[in-house]
Amino acid sequence: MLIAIVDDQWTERVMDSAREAGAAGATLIQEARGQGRKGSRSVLGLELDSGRDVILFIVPRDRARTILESVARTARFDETAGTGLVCEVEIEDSLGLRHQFVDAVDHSAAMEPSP
Amino acid sequence: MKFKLVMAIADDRRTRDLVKVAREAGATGATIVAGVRGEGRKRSFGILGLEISEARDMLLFLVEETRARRVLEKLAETGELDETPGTGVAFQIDVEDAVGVRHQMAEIAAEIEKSA
Repeated sequence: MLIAIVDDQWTERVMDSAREAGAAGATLIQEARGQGRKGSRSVLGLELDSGRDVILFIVPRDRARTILESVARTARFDETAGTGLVCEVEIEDSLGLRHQFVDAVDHSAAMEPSP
Repeated sequence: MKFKLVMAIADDRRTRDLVKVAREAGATGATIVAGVRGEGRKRSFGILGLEISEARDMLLFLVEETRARRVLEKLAETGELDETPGTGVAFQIDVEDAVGVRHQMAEIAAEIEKSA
């Protein structure tokens, strides 16, 4: 599972790039709040955290790194400070993904060397 | 005591049932993140640019290791996750360490002792 925490203006583009890189779906948690190394500025007690979205992608392990890199490139995580981050967490067991990865299964079958 | 984090992302109309069966299967609590948006294999396109993706809840259960698979199976069965596309997913992640679960641990230990 990939967990991306991004500026909400980038959500759409990040989801598109993940999909292009092979993610079968996404779950979006909106209006999270984030702070980086510098904390947040505040005016009259109102904090100005930028609006963040948390996006979860459940992806097959062999595609995870590609999608991770694609997301990071799209949202410029490594070039610009404060843009967000993406990380990968291992899923040990899952149910309900049969419909999602029909094509992934076909794909791996096609990769088998023919006798 | 080792814990797993069982996560389910499902239709918000099923939340109540899912929490109920997870509890019956040994989950000692639940955290619900309401109003999550989900997209499956087919992108959802709406009318006039408004997306009509399904209303989802995300459920988090911190479950004692030996009960995690049972909770997962109950969630899948109740939510018809594998039968019907678009109903949701459930999965488990290893939790390396946890605090704030002392009371749950006492409860679980008592239950295990009782059943032994």
